[in-house]
This record gives sequence, structure tokens and C-alpha cells, in this order.
Amino acid sequence: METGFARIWQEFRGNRLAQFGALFVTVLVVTVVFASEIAPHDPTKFHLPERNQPPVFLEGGDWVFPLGTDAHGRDVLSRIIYGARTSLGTAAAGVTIAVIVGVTLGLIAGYFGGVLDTLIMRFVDILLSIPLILLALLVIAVLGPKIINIILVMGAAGWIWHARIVRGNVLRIREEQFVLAAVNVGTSHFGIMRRHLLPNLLAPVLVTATMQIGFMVILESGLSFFGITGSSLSWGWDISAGRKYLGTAWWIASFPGFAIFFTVLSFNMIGDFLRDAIDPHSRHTPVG
Amino acid sequence: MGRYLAHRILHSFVVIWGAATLVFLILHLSPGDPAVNLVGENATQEQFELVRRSLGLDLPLHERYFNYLTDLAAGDLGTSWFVGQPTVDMLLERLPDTIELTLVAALIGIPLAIGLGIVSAVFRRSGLDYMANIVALFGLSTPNFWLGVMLILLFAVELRWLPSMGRGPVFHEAIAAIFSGQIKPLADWASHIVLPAVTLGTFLMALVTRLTRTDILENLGRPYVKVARAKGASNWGVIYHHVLPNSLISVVTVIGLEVGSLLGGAVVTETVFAWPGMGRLLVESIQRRDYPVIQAGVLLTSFVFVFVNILIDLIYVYLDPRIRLK
Repeated sequence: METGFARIWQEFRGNRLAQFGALFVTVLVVTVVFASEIAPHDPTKFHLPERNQPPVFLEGGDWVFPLGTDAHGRDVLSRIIYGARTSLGTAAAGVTIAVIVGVTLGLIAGYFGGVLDTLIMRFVDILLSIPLILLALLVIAVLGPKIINIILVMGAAGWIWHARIVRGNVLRIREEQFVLAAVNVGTSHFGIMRRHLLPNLLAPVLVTATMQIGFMVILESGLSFFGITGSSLSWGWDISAGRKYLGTAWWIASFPGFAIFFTVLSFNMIGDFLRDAIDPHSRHTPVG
Repeated sequence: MGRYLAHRILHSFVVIWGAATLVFLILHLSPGDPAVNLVGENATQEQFELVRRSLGLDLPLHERYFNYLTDLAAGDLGTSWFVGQPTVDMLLERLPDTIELTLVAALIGIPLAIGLGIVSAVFRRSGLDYMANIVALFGLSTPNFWLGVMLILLFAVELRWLPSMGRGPVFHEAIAAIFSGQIKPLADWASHIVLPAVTLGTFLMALVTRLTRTDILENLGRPYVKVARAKGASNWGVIYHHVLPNSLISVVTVIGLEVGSLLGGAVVTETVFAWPGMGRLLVESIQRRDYPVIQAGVLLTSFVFVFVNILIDLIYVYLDPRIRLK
């Protein structure tokens, strides 16, 4: 991190994939905020005479419904635009909770060690042994199909990503001169964590969080695919609904999937870029 | 080695006990009474109370937990509330199908990934490397349920090459048929499993491709590679005899950690392809709140995860003689 932000920007200007990712995410965020202005139709409105209408580039399609309509004549494009709200909003909220919980517990585990560390890491092991989708299905079945419950599951299970990364980094930083010096001059535990550890954890957590958003978008879509998120305005729900019409109207299940794919791809590309730009070791891999 | 194993097994028990407790708490601390699902909306108060008592739901939480643990210790995983069958029988009946699907997915994905990773690292910055990177990035970004639906669309609906759901004959029967001169059962088996296995294996394939590439590149810069080169080893000789054994260690670690997501992926894949495995049973049980089946299922999943990871520790010793487990 020689010159920090300036160097990262320099790297960014030379990285096409990261630029594509950033552009797509920007477009997506704008879409989420201005969904009602951008969407050509009400995503829940039935246009029964136009049901299962093909997209514009196929015979029978027109610009009124650019990506076609579903079995009830709802506009596929408008549903994708509104679906971005559900998927991205849920994922972002879930990751925020996961980061807060994970960083806190990771800091405690790495800094204090001992019994606390053992307890927290055992809990990580336990959560690691249960597939996330299974845990989520379980909690939703019991607590009810509401978006808030999905966000809670994401936070309650996703923190282990950050806790492991943070703990590892804290174990390393803890032994460095500037931390030892701070301890010697009598800085409080909290002061050391806030002023000396946290700033150094920002970069690795940013990378993990970026990657996790993509992962959680897939989880949210997966749960919607099972039809248990409480919202039918979601990419996964539309894919599930479109399965019945694969033979007659393939676009219903296909386009929302591309939306998920490009969203996750973008976050992955940004995450890759950040990881390489922030951690010079992984970038300058020696070659024979 | 013996002490290490004992320690690992103890740790595994803690993890499995923790997973069981976690699921127990989620189920029993949640609002709503599962007995409602059993007796139906129109049952009288007496019927409702009767069901609650017979299931032990009227007991206080700590007594329920104690009963659950003592049953567990005695090897009793409970009886399904809806089917009335022991949960162990239900799960073990479905488990082989899930293991079969997961294994085929891994056997398609992992060798392909290691191959791609090697080629990608050796021909770094070439067109091949670029392509392998794109394949890996795409694989990591594709949700498996959608991939499954798209594969059905292409190979079952449009091309009509493969069946879209269900399973063919059991594998060992298909193999037995070969010896009696029939190839068709095996072809039938393969045609049913290929789409779900590809759906399930893609994520793992992408992950392992990336990992293999990074790890090989890292190893290629190490002194031992220079020594091997100086001694006149060929390019592929260095990779095959020196670098690959080292890289496989980190690959194997990641595969162990991904067993969980593979089993989670099986839940989704089995639903998409109507594959009669454990994942589908669990989804059905969760939907009708059949607590004993859910508890036993999560326990079994956690057990498989822990068991595979112990196995992987043992593989380490084989792969890297420097590692002495203690």
C-alpha cells in the first residue's frame, strides 16, 4: 500500500475487467434507486392478451415489451429492474450485518485469544459444517417467509467469512512494532483495536465483503427460487416460475438468470481487482 | 498420529454436537407450534393437546433438549412426525443417491479444474490462460439453479438429447448389466446424471481451477524449482514431479472446506432435476416442519462434512511426507 488510493486508481485505469464490473454495478445501483422511473411497465400488471410474448429480436416481439412477457403478460424487463431491488437490497443489508458481527468477533478472537478465541472459532467450525442454504431454508421455514428473516440469516451465518479473515490478520498485526509500542505506552485495548488494528483490517474486509455480496445475491435468488422469500418480485422467483414454460417461452426463466450472472460476475471482478491491488504479494506472483 | 486422531475426533464431536444444538434451538425457540401443522386447522383443543403431549412438545425446553440428547446418545435419531418411519431409515435410503451425485460432480469437476489450472499456469498470459480464467470467473458467477434450468432448456427441451429429470438405473445395476452384455443401462444412468452433476460441479470446478493456477505460479518461483531445473528436469517434469504434489495439498484443503457448499448445492440441484436424494427430502421436511427429519438431516450433513475433513487430514500425510500429524 505504498501510495494508497492513488496507486489503486492507477491500477484501476489499466484493468478492463474491473472497469466493466464497476460500470455494471453503478448501472445496477441507479436501477435500484430509480426503478419506478426506469421500468417501462408496472412489474405486477397483467397484460393478458400479450402473455408469453417473445422478446423484441424474435418474431412476434415488439419494443413495448423489449424482453418479452411472462405467462400472465407481465413485462419481463420491468420485473428484472424491480427484482434488482429485492436481490441487491437483501444481499447488501445481509453483508452489512455480517461485516459488523464478523469484524467484531474476529477482533476479539484474534486480540484476546484464550477461551474467547476458542469459543468463537468453535462456533465458526459449527456454522461451517452446515450448508448455508440448508440453514437458511430451515430458519425461513420456522420464522416465516419475510425478507427481514433472510437478511438475518445472511448476517447470522455470513459473519464467519469476515471473522476468519480478521482474526488471521489481527494475529499477524498484533506482533508488529507499532502495536507493541502502543501497548507499552499504556493504550487501552479498545484504543489499540480502534486506532491500530481496525485501519489495517479495512482492506481485507473490503475484498471479502465485495465477494460476499455476489455470493449473497445467489443465496437470495436461490431462496426465491424455492419460493420462500415472501417476495415474488425477485430474480430467483421468476426463474422458478419460468421453468414451466421452457418449451414455449424460454425468455421468462433465462433473462433474470443473466441479471444474476452479470451482477455476481461484476462483484467478483471488482473483488478480484481489489484483492490484487491491495495485496501486492498476490499480484507479483513470481514466474519461472 | 494416534493422539492427533483422538484430538480430531473429539473436536468433531464438539462440532456435531454444536450443530445439533443449534438446529434444536432454532426449531424449538421459534414462534408457532408445529403441532398445528400435524392436526390441521380444524382440530379441537383436546386433539391438539393430545398430539403435543405424544410428541413431548408440552415439556419445558430443557427437558426436551435433555430427551433429545439422551436419545441421540443411544443412537435414536427419532421418528418422522408425518411418515411415522425412523428418520435414519428415511435419510439412509436417500443418502446413496446424494453421495452418487456429489461424487460424479466432483469426478467431473476436479480433474478438469486441475488440468485447466496447470495449463493456465504453464502458459501464463497466453490465450489459453485467458480462456481458463474466463471459464473460472463465469463458473463462480453462475447460480447453480439457473445453470440447471438452462442446461434443461438446451439439452432436454431444444436438442432432446438428455432427460430433464429423474434418475436412471442404480449405478451398480448398470455395471452388472455390462457383464451380462448390456450397455444400455449404463448409458441410461449416464444420461440422467450428467446434467445434475455438471450443474453441481461447476462452482467447485471454477474454484479449484483458480486455486491450482495461483498455487502453481507461486511454487514455480520457489528455489526447489530452480534446483530441479538446474538438474536438467524438463518443463513438464518439474510440474509433474515437483510442483503438482505441492499444489495438490492446498487444492485438497479447499475441497474439504467446500464439501459443505457441495452438499448445499445438492439440495438445490436435486430440487431442479427431481433427483431422489437427501437434499430433496430435507426441503420437503422443512416445508412441512417435520422436526425430527430436519434435525437428523442436518446432523448427518454436519457429520459428513466433519468426516471428510478428517479424511483429508490423513490424505495430507500421504501427499506431504514432511507433515507429521501430532
